[in-house]
Amino acid sequence: MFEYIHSKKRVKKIYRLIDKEYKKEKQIIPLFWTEHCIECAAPLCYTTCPRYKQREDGECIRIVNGITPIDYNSQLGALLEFRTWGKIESQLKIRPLSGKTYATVYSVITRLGYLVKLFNSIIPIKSICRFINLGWFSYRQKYINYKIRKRQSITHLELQVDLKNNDKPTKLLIDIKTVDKLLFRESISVPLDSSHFEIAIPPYEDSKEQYFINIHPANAEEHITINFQRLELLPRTITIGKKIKCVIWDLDNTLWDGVLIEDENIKVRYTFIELIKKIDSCGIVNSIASKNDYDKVIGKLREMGIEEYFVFVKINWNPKSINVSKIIKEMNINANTIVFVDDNPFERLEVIQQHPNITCIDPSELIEFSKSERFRMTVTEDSKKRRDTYKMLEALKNEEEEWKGNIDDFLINCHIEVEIIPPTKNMIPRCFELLQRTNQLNSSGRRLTMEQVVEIVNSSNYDSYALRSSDKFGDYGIIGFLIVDRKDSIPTITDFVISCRVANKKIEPTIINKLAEKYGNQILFNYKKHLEMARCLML
Amino acid sequence: MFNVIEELGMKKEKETKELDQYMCVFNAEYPKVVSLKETL
Repeated sequence: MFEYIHSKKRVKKIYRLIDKEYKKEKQIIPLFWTEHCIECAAPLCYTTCPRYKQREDGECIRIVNGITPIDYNSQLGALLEFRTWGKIESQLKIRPLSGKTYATVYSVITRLGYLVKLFNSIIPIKSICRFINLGWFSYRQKYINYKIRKRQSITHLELQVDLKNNDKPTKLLIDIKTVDKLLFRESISVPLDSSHFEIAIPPYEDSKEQYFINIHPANAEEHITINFQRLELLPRTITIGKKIKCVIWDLDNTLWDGVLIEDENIKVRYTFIELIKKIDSCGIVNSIASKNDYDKVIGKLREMGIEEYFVFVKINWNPKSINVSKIIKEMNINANTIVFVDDNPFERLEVIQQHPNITCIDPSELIEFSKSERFRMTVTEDSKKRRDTYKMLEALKNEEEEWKGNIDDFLINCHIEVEIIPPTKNMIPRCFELLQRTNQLNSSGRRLTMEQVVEIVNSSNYDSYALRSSDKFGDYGIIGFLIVDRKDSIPTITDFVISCRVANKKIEPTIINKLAEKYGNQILFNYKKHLEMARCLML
Repeated sequence: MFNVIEELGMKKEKETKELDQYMCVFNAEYPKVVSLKETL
């Protein structure tokens, strides 16, 4: 919902557009976006700030001509021309409304807003107008709060943004704050033309605290115009998304009934043991983040015969979010490929507030969730050995932590070997799997089909290479795949995927440098633009 | 992957809406921390 009342422009049949657009939605979190200032100290700043420009209701103009309604082919959007320090802000309440109720609330607030504006325009005394406005600001949020009062809060949230940028490439920041503290910041790179973003938002809710969500240009001095065709906070469907690469388990009252340090005769949940073994055979690895006694847990896992199934185990008394962060960093995978299973809602909330992309679920939901598409994998010889290669990575990380010299010396000491091979028929499924599974380290972001991969491998216009790697910790198998388009005078690397298990070992630059040498001392490298954004989001 | 572009000092060759294209020129001095077994 946008506050359009400060724009002179009107959209015909706006209430019909609202109805048409939102009634079909299942659930939407009601946000009400208004113009604001990143340095706002109103009303004091109205007399001291050189950038204050008076709006007709006495507030400060931070969006030129106000948030302007736009009809994009029967879809209601907003045109925003940010002045320096301009931002849009909404109070954040993570309880959804049905699409139908949302459309009603949107229409009521918009109608009443226009009415308040009309009323103010005929009252000549500014102080009375200001009084009415303050009452209106408070009423509309109370109205939203009243409508959501009986709704359950949502844990998995996603801000969906469709925008068109005809101005210049820019970067927007999405902040979640309390009155005095920044809790979350995400950055999106906005190229020219149309873009779509789905940004996981952490679920902040506390009856004693007010939370706000802000969007503003990263460069606060920037004057930029953006067309928001859609800006809605929706529940994130956890069964849709990136393929799962790792399940992080809590133990007490999750993997088993009972608390191990209180009673060693815990009752094992055998359905989960079966699940651990099943997903392990498909190449999805298991890890542990548990507040527990390390020796007792390891002894118990050994007794149960499943100790070997876990990698990057974190058993200590640290907050779960810290342990999950360490697992993500050590495995070098994105949080959106991880499931965190914990019976305690507090722990789940603590983790998802730090990692909003992660899927956090109660153990009772896991079996059903494991039947979703996100757990469905192409099983290859390499994926069956994935746990072993992560164990090798774990050994390497442990050694790296203890290494005192520089990184190059460390890597030389690891005796990394990479073989560059034209893929044989047997290797093609693994090359295909790498193209499907690799998100961060996929230069084109393309998901070629098996038929396309086979065609490219057999084509005389392309050279393709499988990469096999080993080091002193063991053999990682096929860890990368490259396609070189030879049609032009200077060949081009169109696709380069590499497993996150061997990232940051200087394999990628060595390979590209080698290919440059092979193809006449220079080679072109195509790199999908949004990957720079992905990198920025990972920081 | 972006680190590769920085590490090899690649120069941006051209740019489209979807794509950045970089030029990599062979650097004989690049440190040999990884040993290559070529079957090129």
